[in-house]
Order: sequence, then C-alpha cells, then structure tokens
Amino acid sequence: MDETTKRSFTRADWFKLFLVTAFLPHMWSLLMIFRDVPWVSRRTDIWDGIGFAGYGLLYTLLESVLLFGFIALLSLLTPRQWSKSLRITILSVIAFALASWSILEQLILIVLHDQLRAYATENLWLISPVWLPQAMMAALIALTTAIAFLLLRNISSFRLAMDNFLDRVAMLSGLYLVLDVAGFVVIVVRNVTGA
Amino acid sequence: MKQHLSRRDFLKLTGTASAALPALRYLPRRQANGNLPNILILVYDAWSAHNISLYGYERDTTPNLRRLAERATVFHKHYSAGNFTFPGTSSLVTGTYPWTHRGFSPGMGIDPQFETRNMFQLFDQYFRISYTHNAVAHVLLRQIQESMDRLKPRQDLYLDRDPASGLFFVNDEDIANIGWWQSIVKKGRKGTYSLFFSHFYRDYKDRILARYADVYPRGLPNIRDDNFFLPEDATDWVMEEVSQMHGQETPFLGYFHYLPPHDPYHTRAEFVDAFRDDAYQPVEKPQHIFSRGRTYAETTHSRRMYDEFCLLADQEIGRTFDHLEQTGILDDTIVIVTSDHGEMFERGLEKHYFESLHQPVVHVPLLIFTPGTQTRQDVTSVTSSTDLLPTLLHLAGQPIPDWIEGEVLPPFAGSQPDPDRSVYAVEAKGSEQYGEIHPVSLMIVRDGYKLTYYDGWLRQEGKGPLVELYEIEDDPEEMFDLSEQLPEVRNALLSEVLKKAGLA
Repeated sequence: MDETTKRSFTRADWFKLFLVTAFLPHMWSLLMIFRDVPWVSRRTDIWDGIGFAGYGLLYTLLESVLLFGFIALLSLLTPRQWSKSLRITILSVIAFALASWSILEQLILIVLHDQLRAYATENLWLISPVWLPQAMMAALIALTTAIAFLLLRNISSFRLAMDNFLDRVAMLSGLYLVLDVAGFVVIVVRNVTGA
Repeated sequence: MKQHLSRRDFLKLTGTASAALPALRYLPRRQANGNLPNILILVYDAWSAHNISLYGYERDTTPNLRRLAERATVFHKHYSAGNFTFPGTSSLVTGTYPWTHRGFSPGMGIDPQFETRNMFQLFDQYFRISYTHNAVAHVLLRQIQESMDRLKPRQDLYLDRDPASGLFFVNDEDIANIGWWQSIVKKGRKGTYSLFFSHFYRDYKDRILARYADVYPRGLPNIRDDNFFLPEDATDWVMEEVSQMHGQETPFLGYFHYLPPHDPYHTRAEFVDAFRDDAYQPVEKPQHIFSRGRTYAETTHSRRMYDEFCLLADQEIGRTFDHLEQTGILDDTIVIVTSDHGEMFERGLEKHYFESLHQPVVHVPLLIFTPGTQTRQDVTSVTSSTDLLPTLLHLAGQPIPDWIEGEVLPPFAGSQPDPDRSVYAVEAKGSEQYGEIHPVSLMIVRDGYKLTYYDGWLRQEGKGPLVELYEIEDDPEEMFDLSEQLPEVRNALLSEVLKKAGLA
C-alpha cells in the first residue's frame, strides 16, 4: 500500500468523524428535548410529545450531516504530510470547537436574554452590523483550534488522551444515532397514520 | 285520535305562530324563490368578546363591527364550547360539545364518526370551500376534507412556508411545525436546538421581515415565528373567491378561519400605539391557581398589543362587508362573524394556552347577517357555538339531525328562548380521547350563574377539584366566587355538568 492510500480516510474513519461531529449537536438537542417534551405533552398528549422529540432528533441529525459535510470539506485543506490520526483528531477538535462555542452562545442568550436585549437596545452601534459577534465567534473558534493543534502536535500524552476521549464520544454518539432511528420511525408512523 | 283543536291547543298554536312571525324576516330571499341561500362563515381566531367595543369594551377596538352591527343579529352571551382552536372549532362545525366529538386536542382529531357528521357534509347540495391560516384548525379541516369540495392549503396564502409542516410532513403539520419552531426558528430566551443552521435561517427570515417593516413594524403576522402572511391577502382571496362562486347555479358554503387577532399580535403600522397612553385601566384581578406568573404590568401591555391587533381584524371585516355589499352578495348570503375561542390577559395568565375557562377565553362574538335585514337585533339569552350549525340548517330549510346538541338560535327558531337553558365548555387537552375525561376543565352557564370545575391538572396536584361559581349577570368580571355561599346552586350546576361530561 502506498503512502497516499494509507493517509486517505477509510469508511471507518469517516464514520468515526461523523459520530464525533454529531455528538455535541445531539447532546444539546437532547437536553432541550427533555426540557420541552413535558410542555408539548401537556399541550396535547404524550404521543405528540414523542412525535415532537422525533422531529427534534431528525432536524439534529440533518444538521449533523451538514456539519459533517463542512468538516469533510475542511479535511481537503489539512496537509497530507500530517498523519491520518492527527488529521482526524484535528478535524474532530474543530467540530467540537464549533459546537461548543455555539452551545455557549445559546446558553448566554438563554441565561442573559433580558440583559442582552436591554444592552443591545441601548448600544446598537456596538452590536451592529451583525457580523461583529459572528466574527468574534469565528476568532474564538480559530483560537481554540490553534491551541488544540499546538497541544496535539507537541504533547503526546494530550494527544493520546484526546484520541481516547474521541473514541468514547464516538461510541456514545452511536447510541444517539439509535435514538435518531427510533425518532424517524415515530415520524413515519405519525405521517402515515395522520398522527 | 283527537280530531278537533282544544281551546288550549289553539292558544298554544297562535302563541307559537305569533312568536314565529318576527322570524319570517330572517328567511333568505333566495329561499323564498325556491333557491338556497349562500352561507359565508368568517371566523377570527382567539377573538374575545371582552375586548370588543361592540360588546361594551372601553377601547374602541371594533369601529367597523359596530357600524355593521346595525343590520345584524348580535348575540351578547355567546360561548365557545372550548378554550382553544381544536375543540372550539370542532364544536362549531359539528354542532356538538367536546365530550361528544372527542376532539380534545389536534393530535387525536375528532371521533371518526364526525368525518361524515359535520357542517360540510350536511350542506352537501352546496359548493363547500374552506381555508384557514391556523395549523390547528387545518388539522380538523383536513380530517373532514372529504365532506367538502375544496380545502385550500393554508400555505397558499403565506408569504413563505416552513419546510417541515409546509412541504414534508403535511399529515402531521401541527407537531412537525412545533418541532421545526423549537429546533430551528425560535428566538430569544428559550434558545434553539440547532447550533448552526438556525443562524442562516433567521438571517433569511429577517430579510423577509425587513421588506415589510414599514407596513408591519412589529413584524409580520405569522405561525410560530415562521410562515409569515399578510392578513389582507386572505381577505382579498376570500372576496375574489366568493365573487366567483356568487351567481353560480350551486349555492356556496364558505368557511374561512383567519388567524388574527390570535398571537403574535403584529398589527399594521396605522394601528401601532393606537391605545398607547389611553386612560383605560383593566380591572386588576388576583393570581389564579393556573397562573403562569404574569404580572399586571405584563398582561396590561400584552392586552394593548392584542387590542391594537383587533383593530386590524376589524378593518378586514369592514373591507369584506363593503365588498359583499357592493357586489350584491349580501342580498342572498347569510354571513356569520364569530370566533373559535377568546383570549385572556388577567390573573397571571396571557393568551389561551391554559386550563382556565374564565369569561375572556370562552365568551366570543357572534353576529349573523341575513339577506335583506336592515335593522339590528340584540339577543341577550345564553347561546353556544354548537348552535351555529342547527341555525344554519334551519335558515337554509334543511332538516336538523338528532345528533346535533346545539339549538336553533333564538330569533330564528320562532319560539321564545328557553330561560333554563344551559351551555357548556370543555377543556381536556391532556385527556385520553375515549373513556373518562381527565384532566378536565368544565363550564356551565345557566340561570345567570356560571360554574367552572377543574380537576386533575398538574397545577392542582394534591389540592383536589376546584369549583368556582359566579353570578355572571352581576359579576361579569368574575371577582366574587360564590361557591361557598350558594351550595345549592353550586351542587345543582355541578351535578348537571358532571353528568353531561360523563363524570357523575
């Protein structure tokens, strides 16, 4: 086998990368679903609550696929001279950084919504145009990735720990995919039977 | 067999005949010619009679309705049979109470027997057409779609549609739409499930909103922050459609269920701040057991937003009637203006997504316009949304099936209204469809009293059933609970409503 082939991702590599990419979006969604299913069930009934959870999981799966597509495109930019495992780990870290900062953004919005709204009203010049917070987010993601990259390149124990962590994340994410399948079945049943 | 009329029978007959005489003026002109009258039903969602100036509300929320009422039959004590769209609308189109049609929530639908027992089926000699903006009302209309000739897809009159309920999951649109809303669309303190896509989707939606910011500065009317629509588009389409159907050989029955003034209360620019800084101060009421913790200041602000949105609904009604009059459609068409349920801004509660059956959520407007009527008649006896279907059948000269629980409305029935009549409302969205209704909110209005019964709701945990009794004629704001002072009235009304609901 030549060097290029060895450095190309196998199906298993892609699948692991997908599982890692899907982990945080699913974790966040499930937390929100657990928060919201009770009120949807109270609004109508338990079956609607289950259906609602199914849609939440389906949309999360679709978003995970989109995110994975983005990460797959990024993989084209990673230098071929890096080892395959380093590239997978770096791409996984980028996916994690993207999702983590987005979750943090959501949490800030949820916890500080009223204060931010009041602040935004009084300081329109500061938050407008809208690209400013998005640029800040991009900078944070880039910084996180750069720090992680330096640690992965230079501290072997950190890289080993990260690889082990990602293996476990991929396993847990596999369970989330099982939930996705169950959610999809629920959606099919509801749409076939007219809910 | 009795061959001759006794004196008593003769007096009875003449009494009935004299009571029936005023009703003759309501007979549609086309019917006199052997033709059937057209029927146009305009339902404005979540429109409380308590916020309508025609019914005495201090803010002038309905200048057009007041103008039009001068040639209508105006019902002052009209009750919806439910406090939200699904049971309320189901009762309206089936003429039965929720304990009969079993449509406690959109997820379960109505009992399948009502797929062929409903307003559209009974007017099968008509061209039957319907439209609604409302996803929940649409669930019902889709279930009974076979009974009508045309159900216009609700998304047809949206500026844009959400892909979930609009394109892919049309058989489960209510929950698919809620799932989409929570996952992708929702803004603010609740957050979205989507971490990335929601940003792009919102940017796209914000661009649509920006295009209409001058006309709708508070945002466009919409279904769950998505599915934007212009209320005037629906009015225009209805006017066009009705004009086309009018004059055809087949009479038409049109059921048009608009979302305004349902939340979000995004009114047009000309009505924004119409009631800001006015002198009106709503009555401050204590927090209820079902309170969601809204303060008086919060509910007062929401009420103003709602009242300003009511102005838009009223304007659309005015436009519709001006068109109907100019085109001569009013001359041979019975027009109904009503709502499926009300809206409430008091006791720590806002809107109508709750267990309460207080007056603002069940007391709804009803105006009936019959061809040729040029004077106003006010009806102050208690009536129910279940009465609409038998009344229309009566006016169209059709037989009334015995499964209908409503009655022909007083001025049209040709007899004096029954002073002992009871009307009911039911809220049981958490209940199983069949078997005992639980948890449940029940309402009965009779003899000037209104009793409400609540049992099994989460907020009642460990507290047992709650019964409230109000002398609704003298205490329309429901401030003084008489359930302890008047045990006999309480027990009589409670026994009746529990028996009706199958809970006695």
